[in-house]
Amino acid sequence: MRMNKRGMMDDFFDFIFTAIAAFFLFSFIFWTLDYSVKDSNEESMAVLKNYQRLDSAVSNLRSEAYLGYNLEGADLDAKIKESKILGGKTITDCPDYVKEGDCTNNPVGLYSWAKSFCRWNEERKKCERITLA
Amino acid sequence: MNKKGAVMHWIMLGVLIAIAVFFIAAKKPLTTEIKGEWSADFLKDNYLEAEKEILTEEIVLRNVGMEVAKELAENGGLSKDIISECETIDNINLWNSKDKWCLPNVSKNVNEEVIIKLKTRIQEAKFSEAGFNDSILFAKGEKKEITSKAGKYIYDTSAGVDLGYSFEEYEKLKSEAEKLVSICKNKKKLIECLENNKPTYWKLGSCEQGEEVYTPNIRKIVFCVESPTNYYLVSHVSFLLVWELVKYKLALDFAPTNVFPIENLMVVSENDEYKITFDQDEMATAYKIYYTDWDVTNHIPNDVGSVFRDLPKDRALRVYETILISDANNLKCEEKKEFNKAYLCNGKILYNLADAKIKKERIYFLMVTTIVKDTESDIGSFAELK
Repeated sequence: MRMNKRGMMDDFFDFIFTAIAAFFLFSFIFWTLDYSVKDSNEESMAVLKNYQRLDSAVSNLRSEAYLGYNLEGADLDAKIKESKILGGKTITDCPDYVKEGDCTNNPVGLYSWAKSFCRWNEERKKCERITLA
Repeated sequence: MNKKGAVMHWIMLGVLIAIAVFFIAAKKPLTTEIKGEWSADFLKDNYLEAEKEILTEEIVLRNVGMEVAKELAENGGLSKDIISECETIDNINLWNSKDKWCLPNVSKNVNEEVIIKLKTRIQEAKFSEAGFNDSILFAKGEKKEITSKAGKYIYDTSAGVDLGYSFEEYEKLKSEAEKLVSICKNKKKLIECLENNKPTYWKLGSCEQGEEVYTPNIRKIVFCVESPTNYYLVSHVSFLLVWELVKYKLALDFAPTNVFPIENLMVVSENDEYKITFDQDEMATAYKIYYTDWDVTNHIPNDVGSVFRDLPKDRALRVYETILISDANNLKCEEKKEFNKAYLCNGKILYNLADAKIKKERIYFLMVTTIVKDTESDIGSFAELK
C-alpha cells in the first residue's frame, strides 16, 4: 500500500496526540496515587503517634504512682486523653516535666481548670503537683 | 482524517475527561485506607483499655500494700485490731509468753488484708490470692476480655507493684527476737542484758514516747524496732508526700525459766545475833535461809539438793537449820526490828537471826535461796557465821 504525504502527516499528528494524551493521563494517575499513598502514610503516622502518646501517658502515670503520688480515685481517662507531647516527650502530669522552666511555665497547660498546679521542688530537683484543698 | 479516525480522537479525549471528573467528584484520593488500621484499632481499643484497667489496679494495690504494711508494723505483724494469743502489754502485741511463741503469720495476714481491701476498692475485678516476693506485692486476678470492632482481647487482671518495702523483714525480726529472749530471759539484770545484746535498731519503749516500759515482776518489754533495711513508706499529708521510716511495735516476754540466786548476801555478827542482808528479788514469793556447820562450800554454786548431798543424816553430827521467809512481797520496813523476822528496807531484805544452837567456837555457813511459786533457786553464794 502506498501512502501519500497527507496520510503520513495524519499518522504523525495521531502519534503526537496519543503521546501527549498518554503523558497527561499517566501524570494524572501518578499524582493521584502518590498523593493517596502519602496521605495514607500521614494518617497512619498520626494514628500511631496518638497511640504512642496514650501509651506513654499510661507509663507516665505508672511511674508517677511509683514515685508515691496518690492517683487512686483520679480520672485517669481524662489525664491520658489530655496528655500532650512536649519536645518529643509525653506530658501527662507535673512530674513529667524534667526542666524547671517547663515546670514553672507549664507550656502544656496542665490543670488549667483544676485547683492544682505544678511547682518545682529545688531540693528534690523534681516537678511536683500541688493540689489545693 | 476520515470519519472513523476523528471519532477515535474524541473517544480518547472523553476518557480523559471522564477520569478527571471521577476523581474531582469523588473528592478523595484513590487509596485512603490507613496502613495498619486494624492493628492500631486493636491496640487503642483493646490493649490500651486493658492497660488502663491494670494501671488502676496497680495504683490501688500500691496504696493497699502501703496501708497493710503500716497496719501490720503497728500491730506487731498482726492484722489491725487483732490481739496476739500471747496477749498484749500497753496495747502492744506480745510475740511470746513464757515458753510459748505467738509469732505473726505475715504471709497469711498480708493475703487476707490485701484481698479484703482490694475487694472494697475495686469492685470490677476479683482477686483470689495476694502475696509478696521480696519487695514485690502481687495480687492474682481473673482473666477478662475486651471486645471491640477490632476483635476480642483476653488479658490477665493480676497486678504486681514494687512497694520498695519487703514483708520478709519480719523473718529477720523474728529470729532476732528469739535470740534476744534466749540470751536475756534468765538474766536478772534484764535491761542491762538487752542494752548489750539487742541490735541498735531495736529501741526500748514505745515508738511514740520512747520511754522504757518495764514492769519488774512481769518482765514484759515493749520495743519499737526501726526497719533494719531502712524501708520507708509513703503517706499523704495534705498535699505533701511524706516518707516515714517503718517502725514495728512489738513486745517480748522475758519470763525466766530459772529462779535467780540471791545477790549480795552479807552477815554481820553482834554478840549472839546475826544481821543477815541480801538484795530483794522482785519476783520472789518466799526466801529460804539455810545454815549449817557442815562444810558445804565446795559444792557452791549449785542447786540445794547437790549442795547438801553429803550432809550426814545423823543430826548429832551436825547443825542444819532452815528458815522460810514466806510472803516475800508483803515485807515492810520498820525502825525497830525483831529477832527472827524479815524486813524489806531500800531494796534489801534484813533478817536478825538468833539461835542458841549456834556456838561461838564453830564456823557456820549461811546460804539463802529465792523461791518463786514452787521453784527454788540455786545456792549462788554463802556467808560465814562467826
